[in-house]
Amino acid sequence: MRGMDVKKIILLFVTITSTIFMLWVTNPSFDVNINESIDLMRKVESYDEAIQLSYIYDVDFISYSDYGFATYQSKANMTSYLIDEGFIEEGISMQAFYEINSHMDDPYSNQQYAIDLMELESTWNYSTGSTSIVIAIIDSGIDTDHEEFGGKISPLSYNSRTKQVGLSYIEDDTGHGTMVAGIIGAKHNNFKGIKGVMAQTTLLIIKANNLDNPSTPDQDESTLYADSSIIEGIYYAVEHGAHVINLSLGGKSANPLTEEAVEYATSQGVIVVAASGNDGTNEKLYPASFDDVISVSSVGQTKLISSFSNFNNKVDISAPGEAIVTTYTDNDYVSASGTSFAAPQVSGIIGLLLAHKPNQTPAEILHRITTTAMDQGAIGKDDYYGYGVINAYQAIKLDYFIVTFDTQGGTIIDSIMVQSNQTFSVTNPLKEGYTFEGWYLDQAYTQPFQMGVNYITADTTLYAKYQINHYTVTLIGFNGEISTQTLPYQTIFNDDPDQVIGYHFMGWFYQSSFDTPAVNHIVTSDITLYAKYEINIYTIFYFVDGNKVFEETINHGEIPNLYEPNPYQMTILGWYTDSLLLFPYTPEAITNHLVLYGKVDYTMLHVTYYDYDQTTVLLYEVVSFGESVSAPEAPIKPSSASLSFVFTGWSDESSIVTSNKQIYPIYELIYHPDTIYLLPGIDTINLGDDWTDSSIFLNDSALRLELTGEVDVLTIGRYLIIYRIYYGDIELDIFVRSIHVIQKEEIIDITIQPSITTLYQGDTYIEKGAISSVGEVVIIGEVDTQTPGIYQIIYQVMYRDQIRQKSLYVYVLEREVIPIDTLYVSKENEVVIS
Amino acid sequence: MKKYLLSMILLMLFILSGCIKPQEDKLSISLNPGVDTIEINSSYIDPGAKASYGFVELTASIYINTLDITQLGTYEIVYKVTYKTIEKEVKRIITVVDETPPVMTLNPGVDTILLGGNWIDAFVSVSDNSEQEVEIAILGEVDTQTAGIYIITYVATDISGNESRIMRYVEVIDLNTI
Repeated sequence: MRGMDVKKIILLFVTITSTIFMLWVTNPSFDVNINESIDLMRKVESYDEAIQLSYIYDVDFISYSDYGFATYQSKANMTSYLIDEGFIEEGISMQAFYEINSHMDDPYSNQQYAIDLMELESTWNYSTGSTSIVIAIIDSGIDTDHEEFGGKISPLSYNSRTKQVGLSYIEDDTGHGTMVAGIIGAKHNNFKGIKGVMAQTTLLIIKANNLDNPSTPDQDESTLYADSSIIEGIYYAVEHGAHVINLSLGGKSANPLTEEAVEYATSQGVIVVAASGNDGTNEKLYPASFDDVISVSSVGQTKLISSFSNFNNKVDISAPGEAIVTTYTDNDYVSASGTSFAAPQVSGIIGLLLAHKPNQTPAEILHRITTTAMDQGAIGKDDYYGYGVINAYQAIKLDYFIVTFDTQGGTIIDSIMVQSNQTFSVTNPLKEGYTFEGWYLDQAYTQPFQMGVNYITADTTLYAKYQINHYTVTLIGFNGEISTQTLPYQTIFNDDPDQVIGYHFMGWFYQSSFDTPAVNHIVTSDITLYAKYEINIYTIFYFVDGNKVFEETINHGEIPNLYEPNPYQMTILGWYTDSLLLFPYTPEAITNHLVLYGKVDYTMLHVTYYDYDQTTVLLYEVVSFGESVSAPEAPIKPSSASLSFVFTGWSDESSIVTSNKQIYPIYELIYHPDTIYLLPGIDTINLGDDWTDSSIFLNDSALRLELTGEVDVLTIGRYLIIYRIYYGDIELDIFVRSIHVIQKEEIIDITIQPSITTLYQGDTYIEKGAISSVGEVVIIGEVDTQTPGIYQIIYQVMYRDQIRQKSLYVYVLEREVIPIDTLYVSKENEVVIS
Repeated sequence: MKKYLLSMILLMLFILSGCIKPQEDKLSISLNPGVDTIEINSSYIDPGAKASYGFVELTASIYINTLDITQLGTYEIVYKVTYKTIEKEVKRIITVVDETPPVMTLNPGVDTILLGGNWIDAFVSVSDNSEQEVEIAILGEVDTQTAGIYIITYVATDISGNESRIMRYVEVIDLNTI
């Protein structure tokens, strides 16, 4: 230890521990306030477009990058709308930094266990790096005055947040970038501090962290990295000659613009390395977990995974990241832990590999480090170590060749990398119609190459050789006869089969049901083809007295049933093969067209005409074939009340007689619809009332009435009675009667109760009320027996929609004033009082 | 002697009491309860009046009767009772009113007609207790060019304004829909 006092160590430790704590609690992806403004990004073509978009979407423009994107600020509650419109929420990454173990004020390279673990000393025998290999470190900057970096920092170093070029803009304000840079590029043999992985290199420092906001004393924003600054840094690094980009940082958001930047870097041959993260969980952090990024996890001195190291299926490789002694700000040294310090080990080793053998592609580099990694954990690749712990020596001395495969039109096989003196094998290629025979070193197929047996000693192309396939064509001929042919792939098959007597060949078909014709079938597999035949058809012509009376067709081989003419016309005495009727024909199996000549006897015919009743015979005659008969006068059929008949002709109008005939008169039926009509009736009836069908007027016994439908007088509704008028089976007319059964209006019968309604002033009026057959009686009006007059009492009943009233008139008469004196005076004489 | 005189006076009082002048307020006549507001051309049974003198029931006779049940108006029946020299009468006023609506029945008609056919309203028969003329209004109409159910409402109003109504359903039928 150099003279550093204990107090200083404790003070530093406390400061650093509180920084780590703050990192966890201020992680922005866990702390989104809906009303706060949020940072957004968007791809743009130009500065003008960037400004235009800020007006269109009412977002505050922040910055524009020449690398084709712009950043904005907006209200958080607009986020989902703006994201739908093509904006991307800007994420934040933080330094993949776990802890500083101690400050090394008297550091030694012999404390750098990672040098032995990764076999760096042996590696340096191959290469100690090259100043032409540029390693870009996107981080918090670098201690530009640190003795370990003298002359190694590129003057093109860049502050991607402020977009300023030059060493004065990349001074490290957190120490993290300096720690990462020391692992990659600390000087060798300078009798100071430590040895970086690369003794010679150019460090393209890209400072990308945020400024600390002095108004938030409990948060250190300088450890945070906006996506826009990272993306800017990636493009800048690619454009300024970086071979490797080291990203010892990560965030939870997989920003597609970041992924695009990473893919661009890879397409330009730049290798991107990132730290897997320090949560100690399987969480995927980005950019490490993008496909094109080498994700590095951390191990300790015993090559066991660090407890803080994130593990997931994106981890490619692991490297020492625990208690790594490295440079620190103020020309100082520390021992620190984190995947932040594992990633630069890999970046540095890749730098060595490129210095040793330039122009290796990212895929070749990845192949080189993963195939030589020291397998840890589960055998092969696993979530914790990836392919294992990186071994620089094994990686640099790995010698391999590229084998490409010319499959000659077969399935494509990607080229592979093969170490010298190692056998290898690939899946045989497939080619339709061919069978793979083997691999050859030359296109003329003179030097066979046996997989799993032969080696290669240089980059090699192997040529696939094939044998053409032969297929069996099975032919099903006439009557199911089977034959076969063996034909090479893509032969066109169109052979005709053997001729069959009495049949003609129609072609080959794919099915025994002859659905799909196989015209010029191209052989690509074993197949069965079916021959279709059709039987030959012949015509037989029959002649009598030089006239053709009949012709018929008949299948080959069938025996004809000879034609029999109408027996009313003639009787056949025999058929002959010659017109002179010398050689009689005996039916036999037909093999060709045939002409026959008949010898005949003519016969007599009967003709009968019937009267209008279709039974009485009107005329009967006997004639010979071909004679004519005149029809009798048309019989009149009498009319009925509703029908009349008009003769339209005979059932047979031909006058020439060629057969026995029975001929009937045909009449047109004329119906007089006015003679039949509906009779009036009462067809709107109250529920429960009787309904009587008043029917129709029909006065023709030749006609028949059929009635359908009925009326249910106990159910409200519409009923149809249908009257159909038939003449025989012919429906002549139809009548309809619609009956409506409707709600009956109740009869409201109010009975006033007897009472005395002629009263004298001062009498008492007794209201006796009224009784109603339905509903409630309401009494309206009153009688004032103190005042003479006429009073109307109304008894009112409301029932359903009806109102019925009945009146009662009450008379209050003035009481007659009897003149008492007069009464007594007039009667005085009659009063006797003793 | 005094005793005899007293009994004589009592006897005289008893005898004289039979010849006492009849008392006006002991004679009463009152109407029997009845329904005195009656429909025109209905029948009316006079409920009469009852009369008594003290506990003695008497017969009240009809003195005046102006009732004409075939005419609207107010009529009187006056009942009278006579007892010895005194008599009393009581009046019954009868009101003849018309509050009965006319009665209607549908005349038979052909109310199911084919589309485009002709509908002839068979009308209604009406009677009314007033035996006066009744006005009949016809509401609704039938469009024989459009199939459907039409309701014709007949409204009968008698001379006193009593109203009744009856409905006739008419259906225009499209045979194609049967």
